Amino acid sequence: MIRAPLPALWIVGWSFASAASSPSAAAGVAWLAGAPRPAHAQDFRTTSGSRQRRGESELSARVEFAVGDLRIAPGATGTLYRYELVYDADRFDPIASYHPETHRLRVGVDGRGHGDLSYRNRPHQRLDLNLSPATPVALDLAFGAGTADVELGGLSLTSVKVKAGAAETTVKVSEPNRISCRFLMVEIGAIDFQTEKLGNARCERIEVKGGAANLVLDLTGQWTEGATSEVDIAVGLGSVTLRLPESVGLEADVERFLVNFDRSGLLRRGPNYYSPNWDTAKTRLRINLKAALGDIAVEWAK
Amino acid sequence: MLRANLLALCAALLGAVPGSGQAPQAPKGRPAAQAAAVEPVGHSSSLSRRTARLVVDLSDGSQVTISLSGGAVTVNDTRVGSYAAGDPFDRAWRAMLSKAGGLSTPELVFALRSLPTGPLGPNGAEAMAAITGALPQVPKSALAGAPPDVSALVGEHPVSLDSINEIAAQVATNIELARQIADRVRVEGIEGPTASFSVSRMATDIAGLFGTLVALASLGFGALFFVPHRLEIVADTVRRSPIRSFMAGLFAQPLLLPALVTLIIGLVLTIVGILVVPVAIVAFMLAVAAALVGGYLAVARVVGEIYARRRVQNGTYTAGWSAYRYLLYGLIGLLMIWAPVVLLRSIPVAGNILFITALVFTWAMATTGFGATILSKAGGGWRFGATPQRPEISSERLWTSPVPARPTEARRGGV
Repeated sequence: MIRAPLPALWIVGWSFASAASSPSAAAGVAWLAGAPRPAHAQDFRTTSGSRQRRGESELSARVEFAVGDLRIAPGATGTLYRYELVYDADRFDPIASYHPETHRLRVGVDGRGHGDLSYRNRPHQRLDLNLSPATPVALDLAFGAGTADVELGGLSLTSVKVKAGAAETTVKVSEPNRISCRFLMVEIGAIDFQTEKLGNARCERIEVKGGAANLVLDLTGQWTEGATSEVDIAVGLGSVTLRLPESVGLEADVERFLVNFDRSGLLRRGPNYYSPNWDTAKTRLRINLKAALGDIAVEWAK
Repeated sequence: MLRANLLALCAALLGAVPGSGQAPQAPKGRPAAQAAAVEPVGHSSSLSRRTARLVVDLSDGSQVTISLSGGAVTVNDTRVGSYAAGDPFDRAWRAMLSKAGGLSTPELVFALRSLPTGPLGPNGAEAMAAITGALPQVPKSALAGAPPDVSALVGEHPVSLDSINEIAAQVATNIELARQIADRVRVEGIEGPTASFSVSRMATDIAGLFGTLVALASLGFGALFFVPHRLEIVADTVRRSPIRSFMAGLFAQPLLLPALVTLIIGLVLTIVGILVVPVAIVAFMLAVAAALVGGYLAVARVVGEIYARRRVQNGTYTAGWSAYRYLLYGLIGLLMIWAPVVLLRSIPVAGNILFITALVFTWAMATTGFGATILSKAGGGWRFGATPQRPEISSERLWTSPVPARPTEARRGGV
């Protein structure tokens, strides 16, 4: 049954508009183009930084990384943050600043707008960032092209925003968040986006907006006991794999247009789909899924 | 070595380097006496081919900036010594900074202060004394774990940026080589691994779509110029009986091969006709292609007319400029089904759906046109469908002269 084609078409439009409006996505597209260009001498530089924890009540970390390999992971408890950045100084300027008064960290690289990024830049430009597990962190990540391996497990997350252009991105939450998280927002362009155990993030709300993406959304993990969390997913053009926890009650409101929806394990009641344990479960998830032109698969995990 | 350490210690305590005969200037900022009162809380380092810089943030909000650049060692912009590129001090400093990202700030400062100055040479020892003098002391108890092994830090080869650049150049060369190999593989017709998305491929597809539009428009304009009535009749057949045209085309397609075989057999049976079999095959193929393309153009002509919301009066040929415009509109309309395919073909699932949709749509249009061509005998024989109901035209309107006609008898003087 085809429902609500107009919202679905809006999703498609939004996907491309957001992808086109993002400089990092443009960089990603340029990278993906991979047109052969004459080799030239590259000037790679290294910058690193670290700061000790001194009773900071929060940390606002913004990562802006146009292209390369990005790794984010928990660090030592006594270290507020630590980063190591290797960048191509011919095309990028490093970003590294911390304001002790506002507890704002900004790290990454800023492209100079030459627009001639190519595949060979990718392997050597990298950013490793470690954040303190003990300090509440609001993470804002903007990532263009390349690969990103983000491990948020064990951190104290208050909120997470991820914007990724054309990249292979993995967001893992291997261990439960130490505090409760207000939201986890993901906006992705044309990428392979994998997640692991997002339930461990313990966010009140998870929002995923995807463009032309292959999206694996693993909603397993330790959700906040007794709470009802919201998961909003809007995906145009691509495939979505939902990895759902059997222990949590699920309600899914699915609006789709030209989408093959594998609803195995879900029962239809009225307009929505429910897991068999919806009425008895203490911890619940409400999933609002809007998708157009693609494929939705459901996998169940214990 | 012991002497050098003692010198460094004296420098740290007194803020000057004795024994050299030329004491470096005290760095601006915090006096050495206050160094013990504050703690290092953060650091950032920057390494390039020319510069190796370390900024240490202190708990009182101040910073100590140590830089090796252009042969000069500066602490908070005050020159405290000199170095030569590649000398022991330069290498030790760079080695330390290359590991700075993996050390906490207390560990880094502790390591810097513990750095043996003996192997650094006189200039290095002098500069190092000034550097450690500007940095606060870090007791072992302030470290979270075991103190870092300084000799191991310095002894290991630092991350050489030149080597990274050499590797990058090598990788670039290898990628270029891989591209050449891939090009060769492509030329030899072997499918190699391709990226899921390529701007160049999309540009090629867009150019191909535009080229198709131009080619079909050229053929259509030629048909409208040379055989307008035939194209109009086929288009009229499509307009009047689209379903029947589609069904005719659908059932005619499986009969094409038997018809060709029958034609060949017939020619062979005549013995003499064997000579013209190759020509007949080519002619048959050309006729089928012409029927398909002509039919498709006729469909485009109809679609364009619908789009323009113009209705051609039944039975009249519209070989004027409007017909060209209709054809162009129609071709654009029909080919626009391929635009999403060109733009989104790299997307899994959706790309395939769009491609199949466009293919089926185009096949349906071509089949309809093909059927209309058959039904109308390529627009040369008769029109398929009901005879158009022409409105009765008053005989008075058959004359266009403003002067009232006079009966023939009257002109002959009979009246």
